Amino acid sequence: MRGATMQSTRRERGTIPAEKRFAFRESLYKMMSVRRSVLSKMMSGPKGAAGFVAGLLILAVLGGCTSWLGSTTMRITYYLESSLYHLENEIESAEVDLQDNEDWQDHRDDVTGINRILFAFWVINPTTSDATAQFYISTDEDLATAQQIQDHATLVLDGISVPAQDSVYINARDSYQYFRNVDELTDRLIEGQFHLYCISSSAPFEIEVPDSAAFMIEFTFAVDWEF
Amino acid sequence: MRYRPILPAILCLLIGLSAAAAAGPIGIGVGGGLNLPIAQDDAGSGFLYGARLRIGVASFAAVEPCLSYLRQGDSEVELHGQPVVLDGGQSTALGLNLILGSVGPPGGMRVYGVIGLASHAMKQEGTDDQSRLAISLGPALEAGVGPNLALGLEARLHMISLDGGGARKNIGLSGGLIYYLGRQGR
Repeated sequence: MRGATMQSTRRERGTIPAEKRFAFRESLYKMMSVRRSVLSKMMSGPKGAAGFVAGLLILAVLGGCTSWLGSTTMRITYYLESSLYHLENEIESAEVDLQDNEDWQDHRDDVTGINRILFAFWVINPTTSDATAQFYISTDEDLATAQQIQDHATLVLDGISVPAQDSVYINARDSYQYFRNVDELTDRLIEGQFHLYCISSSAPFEIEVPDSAAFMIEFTFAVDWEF
Repeated sequence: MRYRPILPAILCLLIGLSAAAAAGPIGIGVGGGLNLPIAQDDAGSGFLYGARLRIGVASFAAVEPCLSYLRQGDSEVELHGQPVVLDGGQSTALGLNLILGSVGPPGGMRVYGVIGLASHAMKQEGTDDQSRLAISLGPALEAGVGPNLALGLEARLHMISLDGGGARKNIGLSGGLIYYLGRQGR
């Protein structure tokens, strides 16, 4: 039964009128010849030469921009694991070590620049007067007084106003307006390791930043492609 | 703010020279489309638009002074359990494109290559404004839709150099219309 059906299908195919077959074949040839003529027009004469030159130029541009082609802009988020504060004459700094971050570790040798730094954290003012929080960075982890910090560390964030016995949350989107000495902060980040201090700008210098303060670093790294 | 006025000055000079050297059709074009960032965590998909003046300098070459605006979409990140939307950036570019291929009077369908050089004035929240050099390249397709009017489609890789090295790379997928001045015909 099945064999009979297949045979009848073959018979039906075999009965396609010759005119239709020729028409189909003709349209196929026509299409191919049009394509051939378009291609030959494109590839010959001054336009073809222009195409060839354009191809060479594109290859030359791409060849000269391998570090541009092989670059990536990446964002990493780094959370401080400990609090930093200046309370009752005691100072606690936080160590920032980007080596803890896997993405940074993978690409640090190819970093071409840090494009943007943003941060987000809470700042608590335990005193009875308004305070302005300041952040400093230093490679020295033994700075023990506010005076030593102001004299020997680099101010990187300033002007964060916190009302008395209150707290404020600094949003990443607004954070860049507090930056000072961004170039030095960038250099330290590229080196990968430093200590972060936070004090109030005036006596009694007391202020606190709870743990989980977040830093976002957007950096570009480039790897030369070899052709 | 890092701004180098030398690049726009060079481009203006090139535009002037190319206008003087016009030997083919001259067209005015406008267009817009998608701006898709490649390998950029800090930007999402955006848009671009611009205007151009095409000056034919030979039957197979044209120069194209152009002014474009590229917007990168914002990116989102989660911090302390809260989503934060961050500015993806934007740039205004003054540039000069070199068109190689079929660039004669409009008519039919034609394909050509575009190589562009531009000065981008870049802005992004949280960074300093910068003026950077950019190179773009890619293929374009143009179809005549009237004696003086053509519809163009273009896919171009824009590489905007960054301070220190590397580049922002975007794929611009755009379409537009170009109107050729004067009486045209092949």
